[in-house]
Amino acid sequence: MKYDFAIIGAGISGMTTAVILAQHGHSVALIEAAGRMGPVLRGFHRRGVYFDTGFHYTGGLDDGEILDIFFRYLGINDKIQKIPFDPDGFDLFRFPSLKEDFLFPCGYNRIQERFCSVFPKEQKGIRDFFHAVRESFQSRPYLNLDQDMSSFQKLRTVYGPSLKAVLDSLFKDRHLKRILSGHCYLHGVSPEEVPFSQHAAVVGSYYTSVHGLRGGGAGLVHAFEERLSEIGVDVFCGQRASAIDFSGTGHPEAVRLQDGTRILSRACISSIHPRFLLNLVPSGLFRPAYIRRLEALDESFSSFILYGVNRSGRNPLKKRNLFVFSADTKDPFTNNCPLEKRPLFISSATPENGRSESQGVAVICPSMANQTAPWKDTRAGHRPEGYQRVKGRIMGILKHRMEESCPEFKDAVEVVEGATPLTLRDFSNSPAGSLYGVKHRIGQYNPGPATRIKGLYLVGQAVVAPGVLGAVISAFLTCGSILDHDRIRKELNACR
Amino acid sequence: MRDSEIVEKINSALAEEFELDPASMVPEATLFEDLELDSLDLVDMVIVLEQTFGFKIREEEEIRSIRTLGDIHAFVIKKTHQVLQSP
Repeated sequence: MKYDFAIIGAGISGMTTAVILAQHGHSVALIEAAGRMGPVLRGFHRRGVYFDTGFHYTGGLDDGEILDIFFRYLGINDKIQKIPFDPDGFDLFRFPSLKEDFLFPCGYNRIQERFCSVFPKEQKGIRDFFHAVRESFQSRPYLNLDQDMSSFQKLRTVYGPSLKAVLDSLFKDRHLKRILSGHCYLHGVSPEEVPFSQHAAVVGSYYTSVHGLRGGGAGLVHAFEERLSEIGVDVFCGQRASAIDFSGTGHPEAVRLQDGTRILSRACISSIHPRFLLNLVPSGLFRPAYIRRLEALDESFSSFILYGVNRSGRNPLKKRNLFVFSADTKDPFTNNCPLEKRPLFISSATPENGRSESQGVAVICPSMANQTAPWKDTRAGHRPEGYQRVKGRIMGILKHRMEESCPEFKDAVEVVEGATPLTLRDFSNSPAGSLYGVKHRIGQYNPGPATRIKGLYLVGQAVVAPGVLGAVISAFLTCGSILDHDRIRKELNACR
Repeated sequence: MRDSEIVEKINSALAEEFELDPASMVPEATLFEDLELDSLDLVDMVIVLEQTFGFKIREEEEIRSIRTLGDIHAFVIKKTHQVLQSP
């Protein structure tokens, strides 16, 4: 059979694209290199405890909010169970050296009240900042369905100003600026590099509501699996796509798998890292300028991650995350900053499935890929002793810092697993093991959904924005450019 | 840089990056019909011009009104002079 669409990659953007197209009556083949769909989102188990990897919490999922509308449209809203985070403080920002905590609440009014009470001299700037975030968030047609599609000028997002420039123009208080930069963790780009509009598009969804999911990222994958099966999408797992075959007229004709199987298709959508798409397309079809652009795309930061099991029976991070920041560090998200001073994200909020009294804890510390560069030619399961030694030392530092910054974890958490930029590279199929794939930074023109090859499209975090919401929006944007944006947005409006 | 040198630099960069036939690259050549570029090539063109001349193109409206190769020449010449004059 010849499919209407073959989608390469069954991460969240690939699965979402498959559902949208199949719901419009198209025949769809979904191809995934890993053994099962959603390998990054799905997380893993160690010693009977579940650990999230690709999903920890999301914004925009409250009833009637944009991700909720998307999930209704996709027919998965009744297959997931939302768990609201603590609205009085979904993130706890801790600055141990200053002995300061800041509890970040939900809801624009509550957020502004909290900031104004802590920083009374900065009230005007605080109002202006959050007004600007909301305006910027609302200006995007796939975040705000009332917004006119033609009014959005994408190139503006490439020019800035940066988050840092906006903070510097509004505030004097360095501590306030530090707090408002903390959520750069949610897109993996530093305050100097991230366009303010892009930062607002990401954090704006968290400013109104924050949720986890029952069963974590795996819960979301299961919902997609069920839906994809209901609507008859054919899924091919465990075989990597090795090439896209084109007809003599330059149209996609089939996706070839590693074992030689050809999946015939009239069009092809790539949800893999844009640079890896170049390996699948014969030379001469893309222009040199486009190839160079994709090859030069910068990555969001990678990380070291400690996975531990908390057996104390007490969870100090119920329905909230802990961020630990050192005051007065330069470039906190890069390797220029010593490991001991980089920010930490500590998550232990994945709601239990009722299987275990023990609770998983993840400690995520930003890193660039060059920190594990000496072992870049090795693969998971075959890393040499030198790498293991360095990894062990780094996990020791992370454990020590976790216990220091959150004393409730002291002597309660057993380390059961660790990940480095190389681990992330191999498991998420991204060239540098970045947390969010290609970054969205000032001066970088990320690829759009369409390519100059008719019938070949891109989808994924690189196209629109990072995270679950960014990946889902990219699917709607790509399907909108195939099926017509007005049609998709009209259908989305009917789900409100 | 003289205007003729700028034109030459633009033509040579575009010929290489978009695999254009140098013989077809006359100022009155329209981008879409004569040079067979499409709207998706415009972003790459902005990047190529930015990298070739070391400035940032932020005139989104002006870019949209570009129709011919000569329009690109004029735009870059104007932009180059602006960059030189700015402090």
